[in-house]
Amino acid sequence: MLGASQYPRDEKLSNEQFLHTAEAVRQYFQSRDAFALPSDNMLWLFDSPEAPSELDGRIRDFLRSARQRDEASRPRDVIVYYIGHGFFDDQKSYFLALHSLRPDAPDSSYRFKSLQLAIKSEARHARKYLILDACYSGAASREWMSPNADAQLVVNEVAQEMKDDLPHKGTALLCATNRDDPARAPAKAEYTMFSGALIDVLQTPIELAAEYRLSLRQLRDLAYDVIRSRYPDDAVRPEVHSPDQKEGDIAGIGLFPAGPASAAPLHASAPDEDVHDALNPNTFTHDAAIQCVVVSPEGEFGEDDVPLVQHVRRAWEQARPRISAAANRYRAGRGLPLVPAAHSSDPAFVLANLPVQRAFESTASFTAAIDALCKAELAVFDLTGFQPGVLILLGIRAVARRGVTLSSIGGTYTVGGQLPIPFNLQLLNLAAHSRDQEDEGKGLRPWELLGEKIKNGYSELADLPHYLDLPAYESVRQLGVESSAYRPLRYDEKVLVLCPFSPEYTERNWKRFLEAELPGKLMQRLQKSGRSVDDPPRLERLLDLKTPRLVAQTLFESIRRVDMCIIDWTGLRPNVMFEAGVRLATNPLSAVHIVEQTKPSASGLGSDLAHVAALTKLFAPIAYRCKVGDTAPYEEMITRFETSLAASNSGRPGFAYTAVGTALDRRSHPVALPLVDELMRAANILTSDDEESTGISPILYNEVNKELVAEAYEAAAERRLAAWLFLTRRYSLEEIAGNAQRLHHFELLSAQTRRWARKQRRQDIIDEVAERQRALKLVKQRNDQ
Amino acid sequence: MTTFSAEAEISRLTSIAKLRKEEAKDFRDDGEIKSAIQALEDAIAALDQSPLSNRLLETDAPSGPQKKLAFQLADCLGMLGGNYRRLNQFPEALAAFNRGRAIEESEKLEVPSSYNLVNAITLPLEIDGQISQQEAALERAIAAIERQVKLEERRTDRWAWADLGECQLLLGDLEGAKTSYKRVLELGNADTFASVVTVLRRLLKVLESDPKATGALKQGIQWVESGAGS
Repeated sequence: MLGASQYPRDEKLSNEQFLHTAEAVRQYFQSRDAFALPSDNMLWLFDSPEAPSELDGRIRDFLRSARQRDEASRPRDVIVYYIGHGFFDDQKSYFLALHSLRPDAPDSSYRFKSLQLAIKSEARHARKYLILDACYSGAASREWMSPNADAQLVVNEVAQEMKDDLPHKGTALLCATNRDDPARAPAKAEYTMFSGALIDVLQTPIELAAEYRLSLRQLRDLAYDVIRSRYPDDAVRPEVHSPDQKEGDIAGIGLFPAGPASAAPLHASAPDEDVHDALNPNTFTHDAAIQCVVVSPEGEFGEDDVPLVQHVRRAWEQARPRISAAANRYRAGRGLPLVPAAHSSDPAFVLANLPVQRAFESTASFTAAIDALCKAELAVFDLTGFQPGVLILLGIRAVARRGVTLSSIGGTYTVGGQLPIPFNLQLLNLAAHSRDQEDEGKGLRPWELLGEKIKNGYSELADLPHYLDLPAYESVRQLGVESSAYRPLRYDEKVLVLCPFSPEYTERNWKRFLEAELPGKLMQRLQKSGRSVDDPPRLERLLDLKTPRLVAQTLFESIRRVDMCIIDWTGLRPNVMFEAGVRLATNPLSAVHIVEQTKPSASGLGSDLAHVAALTKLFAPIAYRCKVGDTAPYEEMITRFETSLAASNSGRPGFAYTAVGTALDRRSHPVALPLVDELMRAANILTSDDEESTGISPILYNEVNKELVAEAYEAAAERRLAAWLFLTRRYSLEEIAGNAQRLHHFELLSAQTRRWARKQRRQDIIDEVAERQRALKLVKQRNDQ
Repeated sequence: MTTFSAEAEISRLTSIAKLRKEEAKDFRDDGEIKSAIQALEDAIAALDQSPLSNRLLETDAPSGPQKKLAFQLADCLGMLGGNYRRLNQFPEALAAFNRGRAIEESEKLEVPSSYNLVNAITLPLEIDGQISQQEAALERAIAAIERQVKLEERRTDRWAWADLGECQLLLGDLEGAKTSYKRVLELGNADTFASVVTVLRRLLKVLESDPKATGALKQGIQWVESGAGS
């Protein structure tokens, strides 16, 4: 695959359609249900920044290595597919424009003849198919790929080069255009006119034997039918040329399988070979790739519903350059590996599906699900129906990872529509992936919304140290500055109950039974164990937490600190399930799960959802009945808690807590920024280091309170001085000189510190900075020698 | 195989430019103007050598990284021109300002600055002492900066208002200039005002023979020094 969608040195030629087209073509070739080309047999050089000579070398190496395989696995056909602009130089030589194109420098593009020579010399054994979705003119523009067709010159070049090729092999050429019409990339289309039609043909089921293959000529004819129906006024007829026909015309040989009869169109249900299993431990092993997990609910919500994972895939395919750029900005700032470029053989995007019904099948699968939630830099949750298992996983993600997390609703939901959203999730910026949302039009379709959100999420994650797209992450970490703020709350003081808030529940379950029975039972148990207890422990719900602080902050803090936490599954309320996820992930004592079963229908556990049964099996909630005298369940709740306390005290904390703690990706969110970075960042928030250039103050109220600005200026200077002092004391001159980042910080802070010291008339600091700079210069000179 | 990442490249270039600019300010404050010029020349060379700066002014749809590069380049050029002016090397200063002005005037690059634009107009005044040659350019500059501060993102940029006030004073619009400098006072600090007065005094000195401009300039300086009506 050759070509380019980006021409950095001549931006007017750049065209994202080319990239979409190339990706769709790649998908056809690699899909198991389509061409099924083994990945080792594809050389993806599209949008490669390499120079033509380097590309030529890559192609030759690739073909040579294929030729050297044993007879059985040696490829018999070579297909070169080019998408982009083409042009002629003054000598009428044809060139394929690459990413490296420089205007007025033809050699910065790939000479078509060089490509043919490479193929001829390295793949003499093979039949050669060249598919050119390009123009024949130097006057290329964004839309018109060829205002002045001159196909015959290219055909002649092919014929000339193939004269001395092996006679029984041959070469065939399929061109996007003919001698009279220019190739087109219609402005509003997703793909180019030619390849778009080709993709359509190859994905359309044909009523023939599965092994039937279309020839190049058949492909041309069918594609032209599609083009004519799609663009009745501007249809451009593709042409097949088969200049070397000594031993038969290879353009008539069947080569391209069309979509199987069961295959739906790409956008509705693309084959899943690129969607990995999130529970497979080998899925998230590519550090440089964007690792994405999509948490899918159980069941189907509508006949036409497209699974969210397909929308996410399409979002990536369509917005790949923008998402990669934003992700790389974030990664560059954290020292993480950059996303591989499109032409790299390393994966750039690992998309994995996590079906909720599989996440809770066993302790092992739940642990694997947690691992995926922690490792995936990008997570997308399908919150359709606010299914209990999905919300538990969302709660875990919320506290386990500060990555980019998106939430989307399907069914009939469209963005901004009415939807009863659980209390804890009301601040979420929801996307929609319903069929109705698809009908909202260009720019608002699900994959477009998701693509923009992913891109913006990465950008904001790069810029904002406290970026959040879910609640709870900060609330469970920053409880105060004294260690007492992190002290566990013992169960003889307080028990936290995560439960529904409906008036019926409050009146019946809470007031008449839980609140009435459990504290007394706890007191008895504590007294039995020899503890001196004057008052029963407080049993508190969210509503009972006595503080003016924001409810969410207080709740999540309590969830982390309280030793004994009871989670009442009754009614499987979404809020409770989300909080359950937070609890499981943040407290080693796990939780005591309970559920009302006065009548079978009360619990909600009789749901049709298979994962609810799995959840019940995994967590074994204690059934209680709202009946006077039925006290055994309360004793069991206490016993269950004491068992987990004993296990934790013996070094066996809850498995969810352990799974999160061990899977945390410390590289992407270290426990703290390096101190110099933190001080410099703190200084820049007070007075940015480019304020003198931009004339814009970051201080709120700067226009009306000059004292505030002056204080901020001084505070920023103090922090820069502190950073400089720390840097020069903590590290030797050799250590500073030997580390590019440290050296850069030293030079920047030295200049800033000296300026400040000059204003403060602190000659001692001016002298010290100068002395250190001189000494460092000597060390650098010595190192250079 | 190495790959070119525009985001990584602009991050690298911004770090270099910020460092060299800080060094230049440090040298300038210390009176080492030649060293300041060298630091800025280094920064400009680094920016110019990047693939991102290729055909910067001709690009139809510059990318985000290219716009960031344009901002840094214009800023360095403005500082470079200012330092050459301190050495009375007017041709070099004017060349830097004019190059920066072209970047600032490119609508596509969206550089939020008018420093080079204003200095490319006012520096010739310092050379020949005649304001009449620059009146049309000053009017165009006022229109451009007014648009930026009223309609675009520069309404909280103290330097934009300072540039506007300076152009207004040079055309004798004392009342307009007072409004602009009042904004400078709101948005800036003592250093900003000291810088404004220094520029105005320098212009007053070179325009002594032009009574129309000097009248407004003198009153403007007095008004600014007295606290801009506060």
